[in-house]
Amino acid sequence: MFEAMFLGGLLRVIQALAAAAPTILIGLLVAATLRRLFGHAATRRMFGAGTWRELPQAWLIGMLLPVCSLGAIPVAREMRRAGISGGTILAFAMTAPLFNPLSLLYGLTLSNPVVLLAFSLCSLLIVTVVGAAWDWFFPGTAKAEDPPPRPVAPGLSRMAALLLYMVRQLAGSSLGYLAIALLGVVLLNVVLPVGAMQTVVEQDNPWAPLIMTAVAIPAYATPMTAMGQLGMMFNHGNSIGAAFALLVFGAGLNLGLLAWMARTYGGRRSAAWMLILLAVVIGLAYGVDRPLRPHDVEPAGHTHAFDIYCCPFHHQGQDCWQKFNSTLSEEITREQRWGLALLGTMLAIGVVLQIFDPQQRLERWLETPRRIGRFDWYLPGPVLGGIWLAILIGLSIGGSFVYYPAPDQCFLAMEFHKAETVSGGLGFRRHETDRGIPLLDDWTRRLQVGVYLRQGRVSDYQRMKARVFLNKLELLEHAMDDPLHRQEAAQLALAVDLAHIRMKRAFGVGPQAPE
Amino acid sequence: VLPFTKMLLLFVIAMVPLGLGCQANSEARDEPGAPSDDHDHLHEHSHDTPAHRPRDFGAAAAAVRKLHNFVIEELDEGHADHAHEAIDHLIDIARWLPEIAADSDLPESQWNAVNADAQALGRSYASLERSIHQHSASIARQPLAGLEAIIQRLEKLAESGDWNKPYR
Repeated sequence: MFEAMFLGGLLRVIQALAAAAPTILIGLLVAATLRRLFGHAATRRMFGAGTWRELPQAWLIGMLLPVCSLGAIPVAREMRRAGISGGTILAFAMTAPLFNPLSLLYGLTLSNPVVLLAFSLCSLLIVTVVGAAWDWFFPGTAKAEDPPPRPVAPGLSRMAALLLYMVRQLAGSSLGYLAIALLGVVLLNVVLPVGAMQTVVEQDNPWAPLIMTAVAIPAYATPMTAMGQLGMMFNHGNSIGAAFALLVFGAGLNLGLLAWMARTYGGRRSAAWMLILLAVVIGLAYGVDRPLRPHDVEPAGHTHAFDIYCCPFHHQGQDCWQKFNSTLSEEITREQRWGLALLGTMLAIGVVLQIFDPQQRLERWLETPRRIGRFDWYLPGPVLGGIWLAILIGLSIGGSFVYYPAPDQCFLAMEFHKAETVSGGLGFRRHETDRGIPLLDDWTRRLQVGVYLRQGRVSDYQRMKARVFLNKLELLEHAMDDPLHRQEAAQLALAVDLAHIRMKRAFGVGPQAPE
Repeated sequence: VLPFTKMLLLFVIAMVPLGLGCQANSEARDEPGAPSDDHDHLHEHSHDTPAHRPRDFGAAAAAVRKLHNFVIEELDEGHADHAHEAIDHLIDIARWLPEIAADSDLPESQWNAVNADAQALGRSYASLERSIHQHSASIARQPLAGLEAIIQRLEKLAESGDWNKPYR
């Protein structure tokens, strides 16, 4: 039992870090940019500090930057040092992980656009109300660091200062908050046994939004993961209120952010803020639950969307080490390994610096004024920072075209996974279907977004063909759960193959049937 | 210490959406077309297909014809109450029809036609159910006008076999 919990917790932490590595790095980079390139005054100007634009500007910037709730922590800390009010920081910290261009586009393929629009508006309403409430209750929380950081001479030393800040943050107090956030993931793994969340968020369960709230606060979900889970909830006819609570608390909040709040603003203020947030979110969750409920979806009775929040191993009768190793080798992609390696390297450098240079003498040295080289072209820090943030935002938007490729490339990427899934279903080899089905599911959604991005619309015909294919995949996944369904699984594998051919034709790839 | 009035005011504001939601809930339940708890119980088991869901497009066209004729007969005999279950099933089948048709080899133009016909069927049967609920027997037949042509189109398409030509 202890082995299952320990390895389960470790697996969940590695999975969360692998998914979060890029967005944590982006968060650190944004925080470093604010500190070393913008400086306090320009940061305050960028967020409209002291004006009525403060809150909307914070969530607009948050929506454009591709950070998750872990990556938002160093940015929030830097905003606090720049002297931005608590309400604005919290509005930013909660909006940034909720939406970004990639996740919004993904969400559009998963659910009715009206539902997603309603969720977005409700979320913005929440961060605005709760942010304004914070500033109203607790005025005067905007206290800039004194003295402000000294500017660094342009050129290589400024770039070095950026990198130094990132590694110091990662190995410094931000690491503590990240660890607390990940502790929530471990906690859920201990409390929730395998599959504990499969049937508790059904639309007829009046407690579903509350249960989801309790799980989503300690949970960690990247914006894409949360969107994917939202989509599965819509497709399975789960509680819409629970889906909303998942989006706000699962993607937008984590224990690390709460710990930072409590330490920065005090336990009482943070508790009051949390109570208000809970009241507003739960109120809205119950408010939207029935009006937004889709009437064209059959409630499936259960879902696997939240298995990742539960312990991955049965407490008895399972070789946890073997499952641990196979899950790691199969689920952590090559890109994720690179992200983890980069994060680990930066952490190691940061730890070495903390040990050998705790007084930050290196930074002092970089801050000493220097003459600019004769051939150097001087760009003021805020201009460079602005360009850098614009590139990040541009990449976030432009990256959509890379992440959501054209249909022929999507189908090319699907071929191997389809062959593996169909063959796994025919031969009842579960490890093959377990690997292929989620990837096919993901590519089918990316296919639709890719078409939408390039053609401006996805026809009802295409959408329905994709839905049929996804349904067949899900039926196959369930059939593979029970060895008694071996024959059914084989039939479903063939149905998956046929549905894939039909979907391919509907998206104009491969030989077309005569009209 | 937080000012009590501020706290109270904010709590009241926070509870407004909850109140609106509850109101919307009750309105949604009262709406004639809204799914009832009785209806929901059909789907309570994991991925169980309701017994009246047709297995393919051909079966769907046949089921619509059979149920439609049954409803007409009951209305003719003045037993509108007996037609409730059949109308419920027809509404379900109309809702499933686009997906069932997409799980076939129908080309896009024919699927679009089926999709449009399915919407029309669903609207008409829902309207018929509402008028039966309101006991307005004289207008009960009105929503059925024009459905015969739609059902014939579905039957013709089913008979043509265009929907069942895999790998053609």
